This record gives sequence, structure tokens and C-alpha cells, in this order.
Amino acid sequence: MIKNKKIGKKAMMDDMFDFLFTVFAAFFVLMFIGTVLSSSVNNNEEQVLDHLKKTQEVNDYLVLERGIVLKGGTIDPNKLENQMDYIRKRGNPGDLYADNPWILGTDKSGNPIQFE
Amino acid sequence: MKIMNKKAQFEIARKSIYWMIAGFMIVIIILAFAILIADYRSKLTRVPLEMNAEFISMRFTNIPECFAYMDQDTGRVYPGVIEISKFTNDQLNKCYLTEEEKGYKDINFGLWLKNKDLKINTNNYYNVDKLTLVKTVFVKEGDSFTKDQLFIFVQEKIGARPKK
Repeated sequence: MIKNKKIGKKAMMDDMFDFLFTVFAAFFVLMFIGTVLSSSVNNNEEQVLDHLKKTQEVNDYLVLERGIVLKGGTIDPNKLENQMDYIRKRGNPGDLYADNPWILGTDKSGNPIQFE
Repeated sequence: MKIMNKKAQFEIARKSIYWMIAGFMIVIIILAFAILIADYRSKLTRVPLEMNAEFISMRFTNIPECFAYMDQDTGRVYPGVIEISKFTNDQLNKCYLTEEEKGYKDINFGLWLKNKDLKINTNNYYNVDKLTLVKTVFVKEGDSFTKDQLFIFVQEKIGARPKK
């Protein structure tokens, strides 16, 4: 009878450890899958926003260039060519305008308030 | 025989309790997995607000139905050039109008020309800004063109219409 009791206790402990192992394994597998999936999506989103930002900067650049013509001026083709080369290489016109076109809002004097 | 019966009974009871708890946990794990996949799917198809707002707001500076200047003689449109006489709420309503009742659930915009200090809003804009886009523009006033900045305040879907 005592022997049976011992077997019963050992079997229950075995069951409990099997169970805990399964739960922990499932928890970590789910965490791993979740991290892998969401990081790939976040990377894609970051790339999209980066392209969008660059497109906005190029658009601003073109508006500024058009402004020269609108005011009766002429565009220096060499300068434009150099600038376009720079844009092609870097993807944006550099520090021409707005580091980050998405800002939180503006203060009373109209200056942009950046996201923290 | 008696001992065997007791042992068998114990085994059955033990397994029942084990599977009761394990079954509960298995259900939770399956649910967690389903939620994880559903979340991934929704993230995969989500369009960032910045992109949505950028695409919609392109109309403000690029088409004559909004504020872009169009040469009446040649019919040529100047993207990025805002005709100041068009920069009114009436014109904005012709160019972007949300539904009167439920329009606060759509994207709404507040537009501010910095140097001219002119502000107009879409019909369901309540100053609940999510982000602001800044565009370099030229403003046509009479025959002169001046450089300006157009601030586009973006209001995403809001839960309820704020009290005025």
C-alpha cells in the first residue's frame, strides 16, 4: 500500500513537470513567433515611412525649383543635374527642407513641435 | 485483483485531472496563437496614417479642384502653387468633404498657411491632431508668387463627436 502511494506521488510529479514543460515551451514558442512576425512588419512600415519622407523632401525641392521659374528666374542646369545626382544617390535632397515632415504640431510662433 | 482495481482507479482519476488542466491550457495556447496570427494579419494590411494622410492631402496642393493654381488661358496646372483666392472653406468643401453625420470617423484636416496666417478646416475637424504634415508651397496672389509653408493638421477617426 505504501509502495502504491509512492508510485502515485511520483507519477503525479511526473505529470506536473510534463505539464509545466509543455506550458513553458508553448509560451516561449509563441513569444518567438510573435517577435519574428511583428519585427518583419515593423521593418516594412519603417521603410515605407522612410520612402514617404524622402518623396516629400524631393517634392519640396521640386516646388522650390519651380518657384525660381515662377519668379522669372532661370534654373542653372549644371546645379540641377548635380542636385538630381545627389538625390539619386542619397534618395533625398539632403538638408534642403524639414528633417521630419511629420511633426506633432506647432507652437504659438508657428515653429514645429517634434515627436519626442 | 483488489489492488489492481485501486491502481486502475487511481490512474483514471489522475489522468482525468491532468487532462482537465492540460485541456484548459491547450485551449488558452490555441487562442493565443489565433490572436497572434490575427494581429499579424491586421498589421500586415495596415496602412500607416502618415501614408494615408500624405496621399489624401496631395490633392490640396496639386489639383485645381482644390487650391492649385491653373492658368486659365493655357489650362496648365501648377502643382505646389496655391491660388490664394481659392484658399477658402467653400473651396475646401468642394475638394474634400466628409459625411455630415459620421464624418468624424474619417480623416479630417486643418490647413494653415503660415506666412499668410490663414486657417481653414474640413467639415468634421475638431482640433484632435494626430500628426502634422508640412509642405513647401508658393502662394499666388495677383501676379506675385511668395514662398510659404502649408501645415496640414491631420485628425484621424475619433470615438465621438466632441461637444462644441
